[in-house]
Amino acid sequence: MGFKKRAQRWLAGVLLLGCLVGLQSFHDHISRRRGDLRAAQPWEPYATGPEGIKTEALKLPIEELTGLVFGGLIAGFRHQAANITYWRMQRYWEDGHWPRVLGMLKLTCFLDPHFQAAWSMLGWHQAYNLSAEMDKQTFPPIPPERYVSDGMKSYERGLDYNPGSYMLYEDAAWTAFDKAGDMRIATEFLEKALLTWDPEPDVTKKGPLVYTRMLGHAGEKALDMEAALEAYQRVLRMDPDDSVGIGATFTIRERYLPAIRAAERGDIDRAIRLLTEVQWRRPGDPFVPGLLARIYEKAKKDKGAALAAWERSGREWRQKVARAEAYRLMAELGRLDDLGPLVADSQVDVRKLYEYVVWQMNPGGMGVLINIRLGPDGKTISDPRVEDGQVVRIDPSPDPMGRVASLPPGTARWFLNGVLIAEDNTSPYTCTLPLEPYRGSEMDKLLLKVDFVPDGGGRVLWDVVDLVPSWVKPKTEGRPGGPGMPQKMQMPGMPGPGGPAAPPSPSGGGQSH
Amino acid sequence: MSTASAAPQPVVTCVGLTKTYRLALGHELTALSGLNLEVMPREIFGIVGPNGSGKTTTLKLLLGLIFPTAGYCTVLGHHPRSPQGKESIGFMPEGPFFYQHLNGQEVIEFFGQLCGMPKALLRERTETLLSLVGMSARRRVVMSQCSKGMVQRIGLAAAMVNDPSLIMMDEPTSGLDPIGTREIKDLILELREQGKTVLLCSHLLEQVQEICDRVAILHRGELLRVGRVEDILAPVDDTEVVVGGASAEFLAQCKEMGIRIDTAKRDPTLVVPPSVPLFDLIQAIQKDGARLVAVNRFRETLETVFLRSVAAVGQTDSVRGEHD
Amino acid sequence: MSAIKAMALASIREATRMRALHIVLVFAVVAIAAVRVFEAYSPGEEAKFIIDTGINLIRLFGLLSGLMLGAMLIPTEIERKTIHVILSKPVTRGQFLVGKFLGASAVVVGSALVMGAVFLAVYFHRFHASGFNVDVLKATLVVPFELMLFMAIVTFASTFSSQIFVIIFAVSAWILGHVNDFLGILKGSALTTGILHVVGAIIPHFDMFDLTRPLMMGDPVATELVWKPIVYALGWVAVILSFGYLVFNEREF
Repeated sequence: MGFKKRAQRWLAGVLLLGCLVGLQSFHDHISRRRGDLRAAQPWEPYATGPEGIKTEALKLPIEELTGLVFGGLIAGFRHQAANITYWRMQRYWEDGHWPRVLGMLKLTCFLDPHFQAAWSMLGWHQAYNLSAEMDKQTFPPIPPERYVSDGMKSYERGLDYNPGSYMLYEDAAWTAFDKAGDMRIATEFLEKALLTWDPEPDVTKKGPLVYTRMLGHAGEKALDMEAALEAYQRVLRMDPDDSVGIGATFTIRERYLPAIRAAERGDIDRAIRLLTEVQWRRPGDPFVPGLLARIYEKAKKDKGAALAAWERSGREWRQKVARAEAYRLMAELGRLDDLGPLVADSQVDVRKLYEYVVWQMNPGGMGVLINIRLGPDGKTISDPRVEDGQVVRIDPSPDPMGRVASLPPGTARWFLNGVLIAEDNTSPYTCTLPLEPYRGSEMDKLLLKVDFVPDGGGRVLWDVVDLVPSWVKPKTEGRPGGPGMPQKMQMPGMPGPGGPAAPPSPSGGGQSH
Repeated sequence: MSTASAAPQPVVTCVGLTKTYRLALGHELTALSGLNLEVMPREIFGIVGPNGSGKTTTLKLLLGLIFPTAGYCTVLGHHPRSPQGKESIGFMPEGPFFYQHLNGQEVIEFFGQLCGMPKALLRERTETLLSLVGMSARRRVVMSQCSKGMVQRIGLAAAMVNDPSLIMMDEPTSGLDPIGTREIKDLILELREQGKTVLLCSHLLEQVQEICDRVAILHRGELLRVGRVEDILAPVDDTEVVVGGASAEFLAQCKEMGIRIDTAKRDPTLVVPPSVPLFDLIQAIQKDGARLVAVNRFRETLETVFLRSVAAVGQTDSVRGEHD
Repeated sequence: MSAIKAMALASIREATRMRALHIVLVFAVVAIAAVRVFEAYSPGEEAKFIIDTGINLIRLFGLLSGLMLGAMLIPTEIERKTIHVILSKPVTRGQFLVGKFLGASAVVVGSALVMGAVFLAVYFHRFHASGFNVDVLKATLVVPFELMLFMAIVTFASTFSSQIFVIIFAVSAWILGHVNDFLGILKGSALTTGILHVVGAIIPHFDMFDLTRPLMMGDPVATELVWKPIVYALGWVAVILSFGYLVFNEREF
């Protein structure tokens, strides 16, 4: 080949490379414009989050990333793949396979962050289904609050990609109101849902009325009676005959506003007196203890009295706001050790103790907290699952992502409050709980812990091999000193006689009317 | 007018044309080595040789489909890849294969359009060519349904659509029946009559001998011989005597007398040099009790020349090998 | 120009008579028309489902027909020696390449337009109450140009490789072109980032032909998001074909 020809070819090559550079900068320009005009397809969850791809990617259910989905993902058919994963999710949903539903929904949102229905389902699934079901399937149990919190985060993330989505504001508002009990966030989302209300997906076509009522309920629950009153006024402007609006307006004006006005004037004693009178007349009023607690704390600087009021409110009405406030005050007063009586009233709070106590004492390890509250006779064990001589077993189980786990041969060492109570080297690994020594003691909670050491050393990966405690029947029946109620009478989910009374139906602030 | 301008310019010129293919692991294969060749206007020029001798390589080099490693060639005075040169070239490959969903007429028209022919002229030319190659009645048959012979005819028509002055053909009668072969041969001869130059490659030596004015014999990429057919097939005075039932002693005596014996056929053929009296030989045949089948004037064929040339190269190679 | 036109027309004629291509097109049209049957699986997201599925089916079937044609484009011509006869005519290799590309692209783009028309008919029949949404038309309009760009890649690959490699090469380029932006946000070592940048520069970004996001968000589709990608596609086509010419011009048959 002649020099001239070779030079021509090199020149052409260089020119074309120059064109490539030009095209690249043109691409950058278009990409910027697509970003400005919100036309670029984001990558969820890689595009956001400070931790970047390495942590987030691992959270995707890789085992669900089938060839079809993967092909769709890489070949530019993400939306189609998202539709497929969404369909698959619906099948799992029908089967009640919650962990797989979670995986499919996460995958769907990853593939198509603009799939509003998928975000809506994800948030709902986490906040409602998983929070109710998954604690029975994982060990240590994941507190339901964590799932509720995840659900809220999912809504917020969905809203990042779909700002102005009425569907997501609506779902987020309801979950914050009903499940998370965070009235501040609920109010924020309710206001946005009202602003973005779209009659198309709203089946009732009464969204504005319903959500303005909810604003009122949220205001009441947050003890912001002024805001609640204003919301109910808005309701009445929309529908002057709305019974909820009329009733709530009367209630607030009659019961709470006089005390609130008195407190604003500085007449604290009168405010306390007025609220106490309401409490006497209507002992079931859910908001008076909280209002009193506020006045005690802010006006009278009496944190002890405020804590007592919150505790009363929390115990009797299971108000999450009350519990949170009580917890805050206990921390400020250095009385966190007293958590037991406060939180023992419901399953939810027992789980919270896991978070507070087990995970802090034994982070990442195994532990079962047995909560004991002495009954009126001073001897009853309040945890309905446990009785003296109870046999406890650990089993390998499928983890939340459906991977089958197995326990290798080894030795299980059981500790109760740090004291070795049993050692078992044959599967199934069990121990018998010796609770008798603790009966009548000062202690109101015990920590049962199991350490498992595989034969030949090594560690069991607890996050993969989750263990499920199986609460089996005692080996000896009719044992003296057993639970007060005979076994055959004990229904699943029903507390024993020493357990908490069934709480009143929590149906929001509107119940008071 | 000067003498130089009066002399006809060669249509095809090859000077030291060499093509070496690079193979794997650094090996090389020389398909054509230093070919010097000239094809003159209005002649039928045949390139003959066995498979792998470099015939098709030569055609590809002349068409600019491959590039020479050394040397150069010109076609109609142009570089092989020059479109100007190709305006007057027609090429028919061995076993052509056209777009399967086009019919014969469309194929011819397509190649005419490639040459930029005006529509009316192309239509007229297509009609002429279809009747020339005997495909007028089957013009609508799509290529996928055509027989090999039909495709060959369409290929020939496509090669001639632009009325080229030089037509190159690679094994033009490949796959044709005897009648088709005859027709193609007649057509080639007619092209010469029309003043066109035909350059064809074939391993069918008999056909080449029959129609070509000049031939080049290639073997292993090297040019063994080139020249007019009658020059290559130089007249000889030998006589061909076919005998039947000759004894072994008789044949041995013949050999001693300098007579070549060809035993390829059923009856032995004796190639008798002029030095042997033919009459005495016939008497000897009768004496031996053999049967005289035929007495012919011996004619050398391109095949015999080719085989002799190849054999000579083989001997040279073996001598070289011994010396090496 | 007549040679290019003749090459393109012959390619179109040859392609439009391919039975396999007819089957793909009929299947695609039926699939797009049947999108509404499945919209019930995405309650509340019917518009999203119809747009996603419709536009993706156009791209998918366009891709399939592009691969079918591309595999036949040049490798088959070489294998069957048709190219020998064509290049013996006064046709340059550049004209051959451009003609082949234009012919195959015209078929693929034509198929995409047919599919696009069916999709738009289905969409507007479903949402006729909302009136004619020109943004859906815009989002559909860029898809044929995406396919044209893909055909340029197929043509480029066919200048130097066999049928099977053309398919592998073109599909790989399609995949990389779609995950280009994704690769761009990955964090890694300087070497990895450098490699990703190079890949990003030598492979066209196909994701910019996706205008479904504004449709999902209810935003208008800006006209510049239509014409700029089209210009981008045409620029890439020119560059890819030029590279293809450089390779093809030196190729021996």
